[in-house]
Amino acid sequence: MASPLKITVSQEQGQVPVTVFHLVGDIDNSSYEELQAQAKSAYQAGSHYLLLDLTKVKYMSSAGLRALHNIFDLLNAGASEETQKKMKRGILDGSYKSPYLKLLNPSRDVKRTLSTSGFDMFLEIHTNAKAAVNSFN
Amino acid sequence: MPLSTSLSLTATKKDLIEVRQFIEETGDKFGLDPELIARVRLAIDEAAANVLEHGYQNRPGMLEVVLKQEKADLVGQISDKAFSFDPTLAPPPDLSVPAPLRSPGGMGLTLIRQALDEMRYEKPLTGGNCLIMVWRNVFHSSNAAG
Repeated sequence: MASPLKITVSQEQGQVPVTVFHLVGDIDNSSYEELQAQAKSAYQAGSHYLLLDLTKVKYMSSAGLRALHNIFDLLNAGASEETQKKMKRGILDGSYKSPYLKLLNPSRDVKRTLSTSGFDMFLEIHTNAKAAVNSFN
Repeated sequence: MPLSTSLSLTATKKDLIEVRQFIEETGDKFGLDPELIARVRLAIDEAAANVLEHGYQNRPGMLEVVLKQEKADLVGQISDKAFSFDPTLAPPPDLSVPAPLRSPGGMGLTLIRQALDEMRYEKPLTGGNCLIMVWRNVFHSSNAAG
């Protein structure tokens, strides 16, 4: 059943400190800006590694993709010019996965939206929370 | 009797959740497969979001959603009173460019096109827009009375 988005935040320690957003509800045109705003707040407070736990997200529209893209850009904003060039080469040859933004447990429908839009090409998708946190380095 | 149901509301984007609930409840009532309901929900939510964001510029506006059976097909109609815009003519994003190198956004119509079998646009004489979406061969022959 459709439901509004709620976000709770936790901090986990893997190889590096990881901020985890636990999302419950739908990411749509009315809620994606809240997700972006919370990511921006976390980034400004010092979070550089973000895991989005999508286990309880049943629906994500293209507005959710817009939020993921903007968060991806935000987390890459501090990278050096050389790193940005390397990233662009990796994106073009299909080998790049974001070291800063990863996804946990998207539903079948959310996965389809990610693959239709090509977002699964540059965002790692994990199914185990502990392994996901430990994959950041 | 062919199945038909509608939702009419003065909407802002906060009401998209009500539109999706309407699709989910109607899909259950029509006995549709959950995977199909998910595709219908995506297509209609995206189309309604476009109307509310671009057509009405985030101000409240009339939105009517109809779901009905036409023989074996499921037909969705979204009507509004916003300025005329035919989304079937909108160019798709260049998907040969990897997603992170494209501008954020602009994927709504691509998701809509992938979620349905046919999309048509009609311009009502009374103004506004009507977008018609079709999913083919949804209803079994015993139920396809329309």
